[in-house]
Formats: sequence, structure tokens, C-alpha cells
Amino acid sequence: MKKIDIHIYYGRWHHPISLHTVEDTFEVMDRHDIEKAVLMSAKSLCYDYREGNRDLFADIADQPRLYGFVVVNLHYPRESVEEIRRYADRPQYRGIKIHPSCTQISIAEGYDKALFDLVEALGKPVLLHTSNTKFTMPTICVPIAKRHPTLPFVLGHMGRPDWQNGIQAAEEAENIYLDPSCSFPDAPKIDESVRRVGAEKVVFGSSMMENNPGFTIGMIQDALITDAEKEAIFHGNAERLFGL
Amino acid sequence: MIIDANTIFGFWPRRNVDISIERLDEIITGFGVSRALTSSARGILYDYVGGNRETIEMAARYSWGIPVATVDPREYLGNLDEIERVRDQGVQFIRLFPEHQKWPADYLPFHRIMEKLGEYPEIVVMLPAVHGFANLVDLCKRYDNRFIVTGVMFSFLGECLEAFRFCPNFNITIELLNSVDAYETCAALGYLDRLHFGSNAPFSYFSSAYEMVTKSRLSADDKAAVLSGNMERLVR
Repeated sequence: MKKIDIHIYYGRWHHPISLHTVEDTFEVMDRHDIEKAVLMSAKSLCYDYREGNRDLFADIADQPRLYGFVVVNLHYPRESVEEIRRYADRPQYRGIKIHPSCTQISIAEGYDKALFDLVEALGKPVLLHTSNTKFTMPTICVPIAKRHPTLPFVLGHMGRPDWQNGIQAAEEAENIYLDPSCSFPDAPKIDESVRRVGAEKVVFGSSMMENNPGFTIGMIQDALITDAEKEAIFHGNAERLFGL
Repeated sequence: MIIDANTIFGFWPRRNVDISIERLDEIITGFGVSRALTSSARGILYDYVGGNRETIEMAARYSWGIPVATVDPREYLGNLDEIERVRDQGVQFIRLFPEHQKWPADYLPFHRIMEKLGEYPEIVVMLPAVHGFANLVDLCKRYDNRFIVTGVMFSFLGECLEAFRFCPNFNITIELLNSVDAYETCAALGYLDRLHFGSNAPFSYFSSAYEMVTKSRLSADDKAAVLSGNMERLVR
């Protein structure tokens, strides 16, 4: 089944991982039948968002299968707006990434109306890292999503171990979507997500090159849902939301 | 051939998930698993003697079943007798569940249990990664038993590689070792024979673990070793 992966890290991580390059990314994508992908810079998440964005957009400039998120840092809202404007007209631009855990600031604490108005006007989603900490609980996003009703918010990892909170957030706001990539392959979270919010609100992401894409692919494959629902999750929703 | 080193059956009160023996059997047979190590949730959460009894009965009823017994160190009384009893019934694997029972690595009744298990080096001891790698290495050095550590997440890989280096009796199941090239890294460093396929079904989606092994860059022989060969050598 065709796949589009909307959650790929690019560059080095602080783990024993040897695969980092664009060529490595293609090799892993091909092994798992992933046709296209949206990448974000690991350097941007862990260290300097501007330096990482610069590396990423330079390295994927001539790669028709690869697209990019601009990573922003909510401690630097004005500079983040400039950063989005710097890349928004590139053909690879597919939205912004916010990582409240790496930056230690929640989307509520760091909310900046001008920044979100701009992203909403540009028409591509926000990929928000979520987990189970005070910075990252999925439902923190709900009031902000309601303030920007035409801006899709994709909850990366859908709350990790607290995936019930992720589903709750997607129930509470029409423009919140779930990306199940993470290290918690709990059954039946995919089945339950589809039952409660619909397959059209679940989008395949894998967290490769940190994680093995087979891990999330296996969750979706084993879910007791229809093939049409799996098609929507693996590629249809990404095509619609990200214009891929 | 597939041997699944990490499954559980029974009832789970802490979230809504079907882990009945019927559901586990459906997964095992549906994915063509030949053998599966499995433990009763009753034994983990409430009554280890009753849990072990149903685990042993399950193994007699399902040809794929390999019983994994447990004891609960919090209960203390009867722990050592139960180890003798299940050993007499041919049980080769004892698994402890501090992650669910919330006792620490330095819990004294646990160390009494380990002393007992150390008298029977043919018994394979299973513990979770959250027990702590320094503690696990210490156990591996102190006892001749083989240890199989479950729930090793990719963020533990550096420690895990050091544990492999320190201890030839240190093994793991692979269900959560999900960095993009983790198995290839283990193989390159000479530790492939310590990796055992586990799924944590029915708690977890079986194919999460299975896809990672089958789509890895390991050779066909190495994949077969992880999926079954390494465990085949351990099972009596």
C-alpha cells in the first residue's frame, strides 16, 4: 500500500544511530514503500532552529520526494515569524513544527497570535510534538486550535503513552489530527482513534530516522479497520492536508 | 518460523484491551507463530500461584504455549516454594514484573528470589529494562542464569550494548527497540545472538515488532535467528 510519511527527522540524534543522510532516508523509505515524506531538522529541534532549517531546506532543494517543515521556537516568536517567511515560498514548504519538549515551552505558554495567523494564512499544517508532560499534553492545544479553525494541527505521537488524551483532543476540535508515530504500539489505539474521530483524522507518520518506520506501519496494518481507512491513513489524508 | 518471547494473557484492568487467551491464540495462529512464551496477567496483578496454574494449563492446551511463571516479591511468603513447584513441573522461564508491581531494583525480597533462582542456572530469568541496566548487569555478573530483558526502548540502546559487552548471559526481546538501524547495529557489534523476537501481544500490535525485523537490512539468516533461532537454542 502506498505511503506518505509526514514525520521524518533529518540529521543526527543523540542515540546510537548511523543513518543520517538524504541517501540513507531514501534507502529506508524505499525499504518500507514510502513514496514521499515531510522532514524536519533534528538539529532545529535539539539546538538551533534556524541553523537546522537552513541545512534541511538546502539538502532537500532538489529532491522531488522530500518536503520540509520549518521548525520554530516559541521562545523566539518574532524571529520564528521571520523564519517562516524565509521558507514559505519554497516548493518544499509543508508547514511548521513545534517541539514543546525540546524547547521546554508549551504551545499555550508560547502562543503568539501573529505567528499562528501567518501559518493559517499559508494553508499548511502545524505538526506539534505531544506526550504526557506539562509542556506536551495534547489537550493543551485545543483552545488554540479553536482560535484558528482553518489551520490543521497534527498531534505528533498523539500523546505517546497518553494517547487517550490525544484522541480526546481530536474529538474536541475539528481541525486536530492524530499522527500515531511513537514508541508505544498499544493495541487498540489505531482502531479506537478511527472509531472515535474517523480515519480521515489519522495521518501516518513514523518518526524515522530516529525510529524504525515498520513500528508504526505495523500498528496500522494490524488495526481492525477497512482497507479504505488504511489507505486514508497511509496516504490520502496527507495528500489532502499537506498538498502532496 | 517465529517464536514470540513476549506475550501475556488474561484480563487487564488498567486499560480497555482484549488480552484473553482466545485473542492471543487468534494472533499467534493468524501470524503463523510456532511457539510463544506467555504469562498470566492474574499472576502479575493478583495471585501468582493461581496465575502460574493457569499458565501451565494454557501450555498444555495450546501447542504453541511455553509457560512463563512468575512470583510477586511483595507477597514474600511462598515465593521460594512456588519457584520449586513450577520448576518441578518443567517450567524453564521465570519472569518478574516490577514495572506493574512497583517495587524497586533494591527490593530485598527480590534479591532473596534471585538467590533461589541462582541455585537453578537452567532457569531463564526475565526482567524489564526499567529495572535499570546497571542493576541488570550486576545480576548477570552475580548469577549464571541467562537473563532476557524486555521493553528495551531505543533510548536504552547505548546502555544495552554495554550490557552485551559486559555479560554474555544478557539477552533482550526486541519489541520496543525501534531506532531505525538498531538490529543492524547489534549485529555489527557481534550481539545478534542476544536478540529475541517478542511482540508484547495482545497489548501491542504484533506487526510493529514483526515489520521491524522483516524489513531490516539483516541477512535472511540473521532475521531467522532473531525470529526463532536464538530462542530455539534456549528452549529445552
